Amino acid sequence: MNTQYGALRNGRKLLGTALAVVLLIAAVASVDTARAESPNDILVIASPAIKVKSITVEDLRDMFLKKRTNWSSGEKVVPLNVADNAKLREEFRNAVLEMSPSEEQSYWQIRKIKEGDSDPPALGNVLKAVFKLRGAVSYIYRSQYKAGVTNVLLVLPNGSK
Amino acid sequence: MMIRFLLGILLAVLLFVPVGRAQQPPGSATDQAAPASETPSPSGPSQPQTADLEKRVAAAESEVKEQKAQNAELKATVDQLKGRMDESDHAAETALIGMGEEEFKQRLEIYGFMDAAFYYYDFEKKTITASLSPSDPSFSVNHVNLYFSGQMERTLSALAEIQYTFLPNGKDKTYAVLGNKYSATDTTVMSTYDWARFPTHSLAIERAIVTWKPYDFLGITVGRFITPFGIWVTDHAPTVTIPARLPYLIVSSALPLSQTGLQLFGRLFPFTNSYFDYALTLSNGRGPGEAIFDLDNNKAIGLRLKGSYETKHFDASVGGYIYSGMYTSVTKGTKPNATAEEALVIVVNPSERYKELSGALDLTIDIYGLRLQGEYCRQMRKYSVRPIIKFAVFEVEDMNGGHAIDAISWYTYGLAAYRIPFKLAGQEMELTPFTLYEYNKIRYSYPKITIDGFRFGLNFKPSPFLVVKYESVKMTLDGVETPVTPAMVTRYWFHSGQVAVSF
Repeated sequence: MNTQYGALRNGRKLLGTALAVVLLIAAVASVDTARAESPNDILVIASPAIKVKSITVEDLRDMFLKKRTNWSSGEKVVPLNVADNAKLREEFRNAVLEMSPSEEQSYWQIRKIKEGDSDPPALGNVLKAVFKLRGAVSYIYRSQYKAGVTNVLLVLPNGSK
Repeated sequence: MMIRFLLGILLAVLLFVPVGRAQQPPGSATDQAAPASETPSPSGPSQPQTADLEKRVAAAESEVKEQKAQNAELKATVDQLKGRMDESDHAAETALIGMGEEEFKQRLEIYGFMDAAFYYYDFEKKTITASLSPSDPSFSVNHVNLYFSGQMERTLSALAEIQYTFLPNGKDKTYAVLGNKYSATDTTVMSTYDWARFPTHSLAIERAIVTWKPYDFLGITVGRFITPFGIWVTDHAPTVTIPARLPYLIVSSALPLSQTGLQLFGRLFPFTNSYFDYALTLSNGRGPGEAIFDLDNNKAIGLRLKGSYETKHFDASVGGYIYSGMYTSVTKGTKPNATAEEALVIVVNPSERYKELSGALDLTIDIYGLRLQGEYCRQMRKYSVRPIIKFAVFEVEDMNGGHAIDAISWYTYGLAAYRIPFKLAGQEMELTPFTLYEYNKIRYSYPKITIDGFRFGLNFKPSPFLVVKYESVKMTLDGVETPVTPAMVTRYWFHSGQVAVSF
């Protein structure tokens, strides 16, 4: 009798553990599949000639602030901004440069005087420019992206890091 | 029983969680109620109803045709506008890209900075040193610097920085002492065209360099470059430096501020947010005409190392520069009591020569707006040809001071500032109170002097292009006791308001 009771208790414990594990797996799986791609994701794109598969936010910041001027593959970096007043520019500035517009302007004023460097140019159609210019890097919304034209090195979901 | 109950729960969870996500999103076609529609009566439509239906269908078809035509017109207009936008986009990009070439070229850029100030020296003791500056409040324009910057290729660039100055017009030339008359420099000229009189001014070439930089870790600069030491000398513009007035370390050129020669430089990235910079310099060193010629066969070498770590709220850097060179000044003339043959030869004799070994250390820390900055320079001179010693500060020969001696001089300053950002009328601005202390021991001059100073001030940036500064500086110039020391030592306050703009 005692042996039967003991076996029953062990069985319940085992089942309870299995149930908890299964519920946990189901919860994690449900979170994963709930995040969908958004058209407002920012894609960091680079020219097809660059043999680089990904980039960190820190390296990207260095490139757009001209603290780093070469890709890891050796090519010269050509950073390209979108128009000053575009929402995309503001989101990129917040997420990657971590500067306000005034701080960015101050940074370039100082850098011009100390190093003779200029800020990256701002273009209307960065997708075309990135495709054409060797070493170029820029950023667009996912909704503007055309697959196969340029490399995507980094995704900033909804404009965040 | 219990086991069956739990198994039941498990099955329920596994079945209903994925099924819940498979539900169609709201607004899908199947969710919408089917629109009400007319259904034909079981006995079939009557003739008046059919005619009515046909009329309505025809009207609908005609409306659809009309809308299609309008849409086509609108599409054509949109395509035309798109075409025009594409053309202007393309024109802008072509200017940058270069008519379909894949190379990226920038145009020549011209920019610069300038500053105007109102200043007042209040000398507690009016000694000879007080004659260096006016004792009446004065307005001045001190820097008008233009930059000419070009990027010719991806790896090739050029930069020239020219300072325009109103000097030497008005500068003292001689004093009425020892039988001399007072004179000041007067560069006023008169035009032969309209007899208009105007002073001519001058310019100084701060730097003129060509840089080839194929990699981050290796670049070469050739020309007249700013010596890569410290913080202030590379900042150097009033729109960049926090205080207005230069520390004595810079005023006295504790290290040569610029050199003509070549520089190897580069940057490495040891880990995230960190940088390691180096520079190796080779130049004419110091000399009376070192920008364009060297008077000895001893080129100066220097090595710069700097490590820094930079994040949004915390920056720190520490660096050093060591410099070794020779200063030579010469006289040229024929040999005394020369023969007819010897009179045809100009002999060059050194009138001053010393070896120099100097070093500098610099440190900056920026943490949540608080900036701490310091520099230390040490200069060692060893003479092989000793000139008549120079007066302290004036840097002119003292006929009674004997000859120059080997000496070690050192210079240091420490700056503390706190950046307070705020918004006014929608514009981001910055207010930075600061204080600075400096201490300098100059030992190659006569008399040996000590210059120490304390200052405080406010730096206000209403825009990234404009800075307004107020500063009060208390300086003490003291010296080792000599017959001339009482004539030189002084103490003064210097008050100034400065407006600097970059454009």
